[in-house]
Amino acid sequence: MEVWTRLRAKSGSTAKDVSELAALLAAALIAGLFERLIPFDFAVPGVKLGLSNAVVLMSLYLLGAGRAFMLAVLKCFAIALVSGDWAAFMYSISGSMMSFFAMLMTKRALGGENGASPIGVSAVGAVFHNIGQLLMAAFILGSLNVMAYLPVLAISGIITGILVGFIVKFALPAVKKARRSARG
Amino acid sequence: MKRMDAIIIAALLFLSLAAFAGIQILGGAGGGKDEPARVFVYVDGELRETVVLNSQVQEIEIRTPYGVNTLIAYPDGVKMKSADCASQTCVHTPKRIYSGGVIACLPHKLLIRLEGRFDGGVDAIAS
Repeated sequence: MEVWTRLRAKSGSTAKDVSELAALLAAALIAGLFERLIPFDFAVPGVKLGLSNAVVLMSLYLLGAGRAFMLAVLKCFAIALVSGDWAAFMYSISGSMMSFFAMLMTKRALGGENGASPIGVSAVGAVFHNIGQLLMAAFILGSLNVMAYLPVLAISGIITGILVGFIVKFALPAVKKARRSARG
Repeated sequence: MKRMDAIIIAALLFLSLAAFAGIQILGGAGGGKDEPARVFVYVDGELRETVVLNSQVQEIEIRTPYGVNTLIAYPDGVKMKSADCASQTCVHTPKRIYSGGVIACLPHKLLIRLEGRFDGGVDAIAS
């Protein structure tokens, strides 16, 4: 008990915070794995919905930057652990990091009362996820030629980003309400 | 959807289209109208092979240290026929017919790049 109190003082996390993060991680994991089941063969590899990003974006609004960042990192590890696809992990982690910081900056700089809603933030995040993935691919292939995929990926990212943004925008009030009553 | 969202989305769309235009211009620059269409095969970032498209359907086997791919060069484009990897992403990539188009096989560190136009190919069939 004493150890826990000390840990808590250090990290500022309560048991509720930890379990909340775990629940969100589980949600992101399910979203990410579910998405892999959808065959989504477009003109360019890497086109996908980005459902697990909905959870990251939501936690950015619910829990703030620090915990949302933890979730973005843990999500990539969790999906790779469960799916066993460690080749995809390289791309997902670089995409997630780019996407996270792009969303954070967009939210901070352009968000606010009359500013960007989760829809705009999500669209930016989706495009930067693709940019991060392509940079990793360019690094692995040792050639920037792979950037030829960027326009198609960016436009598909804008579309899926807007969809994910709508999900977050409409789910956020309900999740906030549930969170208030759960945390008392 | 707020005004700022619309501005952000418009800006992203504009940048994507600008990138598309830029890649088209850069991709088209190497292959003039008179130049035959060529396929460049890169392994590990280094040019391994160059294939000139002609009226025949050419099958090219590419052996990399990571695995084997089979590429098909058509008169009007290029497509990956097979790859001995788990993901099969490059095999599902549609036929590339435009200059600057790429097919990437990430597990085998392989990149296929198409350059040039195909008027020659079509004419060759017609004549």
